[in-house]
Amino acid sequence: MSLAAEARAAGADEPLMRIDDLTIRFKLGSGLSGIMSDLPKHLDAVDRVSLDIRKGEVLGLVGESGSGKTTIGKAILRLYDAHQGSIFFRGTDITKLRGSALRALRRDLQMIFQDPASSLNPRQTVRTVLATPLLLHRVCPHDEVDRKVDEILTQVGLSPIFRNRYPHELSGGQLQRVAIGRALTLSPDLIVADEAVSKLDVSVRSQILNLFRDIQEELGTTIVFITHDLHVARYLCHRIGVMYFGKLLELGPTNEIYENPRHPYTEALLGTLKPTAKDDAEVAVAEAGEAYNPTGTTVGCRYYARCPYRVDHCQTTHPPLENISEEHSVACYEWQRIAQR
Amino acid sequence: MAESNFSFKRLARDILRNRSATAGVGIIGFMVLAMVFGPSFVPYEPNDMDFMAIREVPSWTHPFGTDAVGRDVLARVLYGARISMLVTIIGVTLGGAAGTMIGMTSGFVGRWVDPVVMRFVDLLMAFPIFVLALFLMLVLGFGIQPVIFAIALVYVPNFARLARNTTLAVKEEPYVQAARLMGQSNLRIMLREILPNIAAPMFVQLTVGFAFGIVIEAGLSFLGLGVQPPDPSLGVVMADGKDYFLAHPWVITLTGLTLMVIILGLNLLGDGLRDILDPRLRKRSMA
Amino acid sequence: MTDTPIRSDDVALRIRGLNAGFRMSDGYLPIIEDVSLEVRKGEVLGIIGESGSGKTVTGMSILHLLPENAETEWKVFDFLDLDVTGMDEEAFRDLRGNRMAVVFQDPTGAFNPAKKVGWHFHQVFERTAVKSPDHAIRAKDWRNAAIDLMRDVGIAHGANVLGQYPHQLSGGMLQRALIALVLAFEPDLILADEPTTNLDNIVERQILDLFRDLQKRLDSAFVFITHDMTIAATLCDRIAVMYAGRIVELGSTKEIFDDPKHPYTQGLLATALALEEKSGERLQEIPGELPHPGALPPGCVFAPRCPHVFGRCETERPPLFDLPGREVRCLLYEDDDVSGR
Repeated sequence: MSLAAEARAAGADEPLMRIDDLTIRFKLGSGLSGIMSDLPKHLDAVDRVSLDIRKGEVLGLVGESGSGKTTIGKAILRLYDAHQGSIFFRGTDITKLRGSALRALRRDLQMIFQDPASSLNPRQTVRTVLATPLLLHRVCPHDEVDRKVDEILTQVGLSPIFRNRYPHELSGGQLQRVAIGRALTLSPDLIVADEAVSKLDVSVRSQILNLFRDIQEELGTTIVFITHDLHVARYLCHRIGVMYFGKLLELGPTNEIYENPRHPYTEALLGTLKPTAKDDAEVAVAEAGEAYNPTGTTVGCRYYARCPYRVDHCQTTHPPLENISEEHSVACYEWQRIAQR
Repeated sequence: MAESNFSFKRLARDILRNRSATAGVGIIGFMVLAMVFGPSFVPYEPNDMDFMAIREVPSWTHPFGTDAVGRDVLARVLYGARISMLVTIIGVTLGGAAGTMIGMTSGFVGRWVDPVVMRFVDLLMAFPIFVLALFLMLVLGFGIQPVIFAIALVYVPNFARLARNTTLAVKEEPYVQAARLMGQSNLRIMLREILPNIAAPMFVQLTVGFAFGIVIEAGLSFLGLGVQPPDPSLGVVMADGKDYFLAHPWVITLTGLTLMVIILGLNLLGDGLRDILDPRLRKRSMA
Repeated sequence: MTDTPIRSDDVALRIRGLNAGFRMSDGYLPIIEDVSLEVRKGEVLGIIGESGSGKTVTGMSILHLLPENAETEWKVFDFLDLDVTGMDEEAFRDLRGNRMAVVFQDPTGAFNPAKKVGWHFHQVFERTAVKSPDHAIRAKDWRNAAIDLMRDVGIAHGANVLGQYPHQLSGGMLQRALIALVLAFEPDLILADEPTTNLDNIVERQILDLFRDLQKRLDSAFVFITHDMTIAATLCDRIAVMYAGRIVELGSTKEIFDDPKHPYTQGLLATALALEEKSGERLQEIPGELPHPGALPPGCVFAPRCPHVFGRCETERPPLFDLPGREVRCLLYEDDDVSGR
């Protein structure tokens, strides 16, 4: 990017991260058996997805398992290599980074995992877990580490007593707090939370969600919140992206998505929130989950098989993600029919 | 994996609770004491020959009898056990350390490196121990050092395999990914995140390794491929005794029994340790 | 084995005074205390509790599926018309194998990984063939019977599934297959322990619907263990709320939801429902943490976290008070006790 363009961008509201036509591909069936069978050789867990992440927002990525939401979250953190496409962060395409440049990036991007127990080394005390990044990246001098550790513990709602505890002595909620504390040690610009509350009990979930809220409000950290739980997404996120088998189907402000969904899948998903209904939409979603073969070579809309609004045109190519209003985009040829309902 | 931090006190308590481990510790403890302090109580040197007292039957002056050149067998056994144990422990530990490092690195790095390294390891495993020992003799000459290396080499594949497999499992754990996200270098990750979490089965493997290692050492020395006479090792002493076994069975029998007791102790200890490390995982309270 | 008939009313399971704990390396750790419950045929009893509440241990005690170092004792344990308290292990295993079914969180454990799904169905049909001539006929044509059942649980291509191995099916599919097996088995008691926790929202809804069908079709007593009150609301007739190893409230689902009496139940409900509200304010929390089983507070176990705590709560252990249609373990209701305790 030229300097002039950079200046222009800095003036405009440049997103914190821009994902551009990203594809993450997994190879399947290596070895002899793979070669012999006529199953497809690869799976595009993330399939040509473009997305902006704005500074200071909480962006929700919702979808079922296999939708690619977790994969894209890990791709942002460079835990996967991109098959194609780019991820721009502060002007640089981070998919091309290696070695020390990549390591330097680590300060800015952190992750919170689904299972708090296995996200901490069982042989390290809480202090070690928190001190390691502090020392590694020289956040503070040696003699201040303990003080900083206590500060972080307090920030996530734990008393300094926990400093010398081991993971197996902590409950799920406490572990997740430590994990959140660890993510905060480097004051990252972006945190990816991958189903961060799914494995917690309902009442603990509230505590941790409140903590996320607090962090976001006090520190202004940008959060990408990956979840299959629509209630959680609604509570925490400013914008929501709906994913389905590697494709981004709909993106928009939370209220807009929940009140005016424009994609048939989103509509069906939201239908499951109603406590009593067992109508066609729900059944459609139900069978959709089992119907689509992600390794198949579908060229048309991924949701075609179970879409109640489908027309012939939908089989030609997967619909592109298009803006239907300033903030709301949908990947569906027939979205207007849904708008009319 | 193991969910508790390591503490000697807890280990001691668990050992006492497990019969196998206690017996093992008892036997080995006794042996070690005998090896360390025994020679000072025995009035003879292992290589002192006394042609007035050849092939004597066990008695108060010579509890294990004497051999064909009048050396006190008990003294030779005590010294020999010391040498055998030392050779074995050093050899197996060396092999274990090297094997663990190789296996862990191979498993961690993965990609094309892993299959290649593992094929080399398989190759090593395919060599019969004695052929290996012979080869090392040719290269390094005779004596204690080649035996140590031979034993080490025998155990590298064992530990490498185990380390690699446990590393593969641990590598996928979220906390390792978290460490990577922290920006830790691969070396740091291996040493801080992976190694402590694969250590437990390695230790068990070590004690099991000792038990068989001493058999290897004795065998090699027996065949003349290991410790060279007149330096005693249990194998050497038995080799001495084999020539006149029919006339005077004491040498080989008593030495053999000593060897057997040591191996038994090590095996019991290994079994016990394995038990201790296992149900520690089971004795949880099902949260 | 004593099988002197006690009372042939419609109570399938009756337990009184169940205590259980584990022999740990440093002593005995009590987990549940004084648990009493009853389940009628065709009724669903929910056991609600968070991690560490003792709900799983309760379920496993009923089935005698606790690990070796567990110790259990009970005053009464009746199953159908049998007194199980004195039964030896082998007789109980027989009983369990023929009359009880378990659905765990992870369905893979219920299947033999080396055998195809069809094999499992065949086994079940063989076993039930002795029940009646109809059953015997069904056992002869078991393939079709299996396919029918699988269609009932939403597996469209049952014939294919019969020929597959458990690891080839997704979590949701496997859970469905397991439910089909349970349907075929027609047990007298079904115990489900968090069977939907690992599943996405959408699949979870479907599986819960299936459980409801199960309950309607069979006359089994159903014990449903979960930490999620909203799930319990849709499925259970009666609920037992557990905290720190004790039942703190027991009553009909509707009444408990309309009028929760124990402060813990109130807190649980508040946090569960908070997410579903659209308010967007801070979520309700129950402050503090579950006490460690080895370090329970001297008085009421919930006292440290209770918003209505008063003097005696911290020194006295409340018994389970008998209210009309409700049992509550809380001193606040001492005067409402109708049993004249």
